[in-house]
Amino acid sequence: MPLLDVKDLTISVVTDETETELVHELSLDLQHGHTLCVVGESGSGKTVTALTIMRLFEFIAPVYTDGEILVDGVDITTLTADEMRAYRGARIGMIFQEALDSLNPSQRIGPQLIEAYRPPGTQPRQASRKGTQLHKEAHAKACSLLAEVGLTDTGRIMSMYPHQLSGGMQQRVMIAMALMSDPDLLIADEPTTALDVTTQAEILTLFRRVRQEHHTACVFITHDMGVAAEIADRIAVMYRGRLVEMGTAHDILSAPEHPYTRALLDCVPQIGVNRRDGFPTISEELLEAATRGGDDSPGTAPATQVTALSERATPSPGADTPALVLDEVSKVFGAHGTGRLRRLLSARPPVHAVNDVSLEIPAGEFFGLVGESGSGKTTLGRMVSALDTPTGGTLTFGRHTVDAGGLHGDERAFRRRVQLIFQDPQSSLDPRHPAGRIIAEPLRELTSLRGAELDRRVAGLIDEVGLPADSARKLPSQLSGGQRQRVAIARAVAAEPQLIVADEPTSALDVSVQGQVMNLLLQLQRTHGISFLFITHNLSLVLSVADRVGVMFEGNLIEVGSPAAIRTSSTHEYTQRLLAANPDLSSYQRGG
Amino acid sequence: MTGLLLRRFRDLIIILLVVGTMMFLIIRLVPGDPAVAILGANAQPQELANLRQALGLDGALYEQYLAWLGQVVTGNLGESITHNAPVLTVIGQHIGPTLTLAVISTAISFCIAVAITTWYAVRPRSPLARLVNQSAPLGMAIPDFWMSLILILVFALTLRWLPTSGYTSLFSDPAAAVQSLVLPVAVLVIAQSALFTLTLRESVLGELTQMYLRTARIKGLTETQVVLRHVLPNALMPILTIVGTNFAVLIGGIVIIESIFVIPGLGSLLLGAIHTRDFPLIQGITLFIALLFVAVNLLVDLSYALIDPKVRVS
Repeated sequence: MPLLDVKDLTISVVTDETETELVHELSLDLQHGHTLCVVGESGSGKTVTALTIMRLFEFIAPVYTDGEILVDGVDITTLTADEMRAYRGARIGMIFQEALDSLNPSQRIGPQLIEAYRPPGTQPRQASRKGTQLHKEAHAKACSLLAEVGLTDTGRIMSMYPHQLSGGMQQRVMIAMALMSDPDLLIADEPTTALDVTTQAEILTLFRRVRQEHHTACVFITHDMGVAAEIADRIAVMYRGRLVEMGTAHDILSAPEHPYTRALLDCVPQIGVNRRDGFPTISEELLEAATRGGDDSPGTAPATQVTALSERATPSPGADTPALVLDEVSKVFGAHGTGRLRRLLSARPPVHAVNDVSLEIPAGEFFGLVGESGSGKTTLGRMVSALDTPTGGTLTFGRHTVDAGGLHGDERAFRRRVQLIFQDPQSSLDPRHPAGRIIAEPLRELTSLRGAELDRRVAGLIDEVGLPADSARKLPSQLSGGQRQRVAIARAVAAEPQLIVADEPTSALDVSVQGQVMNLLLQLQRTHGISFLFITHNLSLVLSVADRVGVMFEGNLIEVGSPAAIRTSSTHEYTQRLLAANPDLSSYQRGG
Repeated sequence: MTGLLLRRFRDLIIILLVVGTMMFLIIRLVPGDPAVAILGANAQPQELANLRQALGLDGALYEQYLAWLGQVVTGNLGESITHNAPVLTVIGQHIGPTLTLAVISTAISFCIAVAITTWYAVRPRSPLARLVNQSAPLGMAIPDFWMSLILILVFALTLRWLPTSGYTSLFSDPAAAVQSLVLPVAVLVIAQSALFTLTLRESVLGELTQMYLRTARIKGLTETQVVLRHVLPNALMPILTIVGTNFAVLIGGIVIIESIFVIPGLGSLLLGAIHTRDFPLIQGITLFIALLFVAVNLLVDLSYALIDPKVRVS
């Protein structure tokens, strides 16, 4: 008998008298001690499924379920609220994506772990009573689990608050917490998505060890096929609330049957695969055509298409795109003022975010800057776009220089030439401005276009970035994530800049949409000769598109080279660690 | 922490200086001669001159200001004209009733708010929770003086359960003191507890959407445990700020309450000083209340540092 057997699970939510189906007739099963990866893009229903197995929706939303969820043969959808409570924690443990938000900010780690200890026959929080035998047991167990998940000095960690731990440590605490009552089943919802790639590799290793030593079965939810390849025994692919395909990890990754699975695998950027001439993207029409035969006999037609990018435009004779030159640029936070009183009052030592970075990006180059969180890559990007001033060194872009005194020269001319694209289009676009107004704003501020001419230019931009013509009147909330990022790109290119600083522009997007946005950026680079400073944490992505790549680590630019050189002949220890930690599908690589 | 204290101390000095200077100027901007206003039109020139000197009204404006500043800096707020005693002494004699009202009403309001909101968080759909929630804005909207008169009319004049006015110190005769305190405290509590409840409810609603509650639930905790152990400790923090910023409103309310219930506190003292144009006393009380306001808010900040781990351990 499988440990978890989901049969024909349909989940729907009722809002304003309309019923929306989130998951449709999903069937999954999971044997004791195995790991099942549920892979899908946003909106596929994978998180909804996880929350439903834990029956957490009954606290937050009016959700109706149909079908059975059998845990060891017991249908948990029929349990009373009290009976279900005995399953949570004790039988089923759960780990979330945002470890910090998932921990109580005002409670120390120790009590939070101890609270999760609930051996059979005890009441919830019985172990939290100090001085009891149960409390001592729980304390000992918490310490041993913290040590097991790789944290040293457990006594000190038990007395710390969540915000004092790093992201990786927080996720380790969450894993220890989920294991406090020895559950048979662990549900992990994107547990490594918010982590750096090297931390992710460590956490994935930890998951593998937990499975071995505790024989815990695991439903591991992820959007990343690379992560699934690292950890799954079996993989289930979901698309729009339906199960597309389920099978062993090897079968799914090396011989996917369903066109969507194939398409998803194609879209993942891979180290060593050059995508400079365009990314494959999932095409709705092709996907529909490929699946028209019905779920039983999926066709073999591809569901991806590769947009052919136009040829590189030869720079027009009058083009005066300058190179961006960084000369020993540094940024130190928290060291403003040198007075003795200032130093006495500031509690924290200054942070060296960027250390003596020297770099030249020639006109029209697509320069990829890769690094983990805290490496200083975003700070560098902000200084290049003169949103931040360096504390040392000079940045030069043509006539414009930025140094410790700020931006010298005509600021409007600089803004016209250097533009930014941010990570999260949801929060970087004014929610009350329609897309057309957002795109027109830099034109109005920086150019002399007005009236009908301005409208024509906006319409042209909307067309160029591949948005439907009626998008101009829509608010950001009425557009999809990918469309919002296209609006942000249109706004950035509106004033015809010569340099665009793109800070993680695809990190918030699904992998198929990421391909579309990357194609657009590459196309813009080609047709307008725009230079790019492309900032990302995604090594596979940057190695497959950039002309040159720089690796940042703790504020230092430790290496600059062509993608091929970085991939094959990097001598730097950190770059090699990044490469090793990068989840990779290449071992399953199919020909072509 | 040292930085916070130093910043607060700087704020305190700035606020006192601004308030004091404004009071200094207002008194000098009163049309006509304050000395004449106090002594009447038939006063002797010598008397007027003496009074002017006592009030610090002789000499050029900047001389007056510097003299006043020098006095204030050395802790000398001058002599009250009507009480014939140093201003500080007079304030000291009247501070007791005001502090009693402020502390007791704030404490009771706080407890009421916590009790109601806990009930609301555990049973959001219960009729009692709804009733209280809907009547809370009403509690804030009712004017203090109207509420005082209604309470006096019902409980003192009609039912004759409580005295209409008067004040006995809690330390000299607790039983009589409680009797005389019930009505004024009740009036203050109605408005304050309504404000605290609304604030705390917003805070609780915000915490209820937090993800760490999901974690608490997947540990198998009951909903009551989730609210008591996880929601409340986090939701209570913002209400401290409200206690601090509400202090000025509270003092304003107490001035009215004291005059209605004839309580010899700072409010009555201030009203009396205004009626008798006792300028040094007005100036002194105003400065003192400003000082109190800054001090309360400093206490709030310090208590944040004690209870909020994010402030305490950085």
